[in-house]
Amino acid sequence: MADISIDPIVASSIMDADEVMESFNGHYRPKSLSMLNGGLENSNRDPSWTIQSDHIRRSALCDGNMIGATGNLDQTSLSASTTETDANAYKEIPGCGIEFYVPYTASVLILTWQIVAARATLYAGSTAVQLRLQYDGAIQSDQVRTIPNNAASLGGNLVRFLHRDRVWSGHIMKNNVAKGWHSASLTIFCNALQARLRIRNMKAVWFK
Amino acid sequence: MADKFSPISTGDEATSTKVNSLFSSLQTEVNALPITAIQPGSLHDVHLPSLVVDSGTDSITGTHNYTNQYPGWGNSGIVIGANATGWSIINTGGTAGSGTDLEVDLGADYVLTGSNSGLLIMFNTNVVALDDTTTATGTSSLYGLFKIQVYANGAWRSIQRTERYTTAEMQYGPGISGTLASAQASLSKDVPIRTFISNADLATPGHVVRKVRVLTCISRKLAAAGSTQLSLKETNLSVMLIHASLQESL
Repeated sequence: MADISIDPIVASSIMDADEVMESFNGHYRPKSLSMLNGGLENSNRDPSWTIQSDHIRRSALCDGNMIGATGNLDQTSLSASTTETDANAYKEIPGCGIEFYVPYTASVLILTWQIVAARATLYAGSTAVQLRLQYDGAIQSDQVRTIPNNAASLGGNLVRFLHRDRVWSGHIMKNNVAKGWHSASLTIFCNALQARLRIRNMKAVWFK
Repeated sequence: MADKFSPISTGDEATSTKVNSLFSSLQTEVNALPITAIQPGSLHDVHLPSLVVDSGTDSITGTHNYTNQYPGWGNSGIVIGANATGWSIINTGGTAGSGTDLEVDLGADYVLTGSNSGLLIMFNTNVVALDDTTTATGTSSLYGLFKIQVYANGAWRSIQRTERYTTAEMQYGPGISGTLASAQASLSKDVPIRTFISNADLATPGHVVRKVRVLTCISRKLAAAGSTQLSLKETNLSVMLIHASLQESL
């Protein structure tokens, strides 16, 4: 929007009320003071000063949300699908899913997640524990992670190798995300007898 | 605001000269707003441009394998071909480089000065295996390495501080069932890199950036040449050029 530029009333003439009102509150904004009603922009700023950070409303240009959990969360094959391709084979992990409201069309949305995962199954075993991220209900094919086997049979006992526990993380970036509610969740497929999760966080950060 | 405004007094003539003067004073005032006219927190998303200048993302979902060997700290030489000394560009075709590079091209040159503060870079890869197929003594020491490169002023420049290592966690000894290879095959490790590239990172060759990619290779201490392989699967790279400089001059 350009600077206000009001047409002067012709000197020595009888003033027309409409002409004066047009200068006050006309719809043709640059020729009227109506720009005061929310129409002022950078061009109206005295160039001797710059916009300061405290002029900008909190969360106006970027914002975010995070969810996390503490404590151990165990998964077991006893109550899970036996094959990965079953409907609902992947279950949402409590504490590692997020719903958030984007108040404008966001040019960029970043989702990041972190989780610690461990299991207790023999190296030679054929069971699987897989993590997969879903965004707005859609599987993100580049966000698939496997929890490795981490135990050996030693003298008849099962020995876990703790260094095989895993800290997994991931991220996705989405462009031109529509205004409104969105969701993301980390899901797990577990057909091992046990997998133990320690959730760190799921974060969403968006930029106007 | 409008501290110079003087209304027409009751009973005075409302001449065009007086009305023009009133409008003119208001116009002058509004067209050069002082800093005190802007209330703290009054500017929001409809008033201000995006902080994001440009962004891009790329990913690979299938398996891609690498065999080239670490050339040493600070050395960014790239080789195409198997079991050579040098880095490989992460590519859908692996070491051979026969596929598509994992790369974000912003599509334009951006100068990292002023309000274009820098590039936020995020990288993740799923290391599915890091194998030594011949060593049988448990003395092999294997690492997978990664680092970010930025295309600046017409040349690829390594960001040395982004170099990351991950160990192969070789498994030997009593009780380890299965073959050596099968133990290693389930490595499944995460390698994340998060970094912010500012103009201070690109003093040489310059601050004009356009593209970002990632290099990888293997460091082997005792394994025989030609016996090692790094296998990656789900891998993604995201880049965002943002305004983030703070200029509090008043």
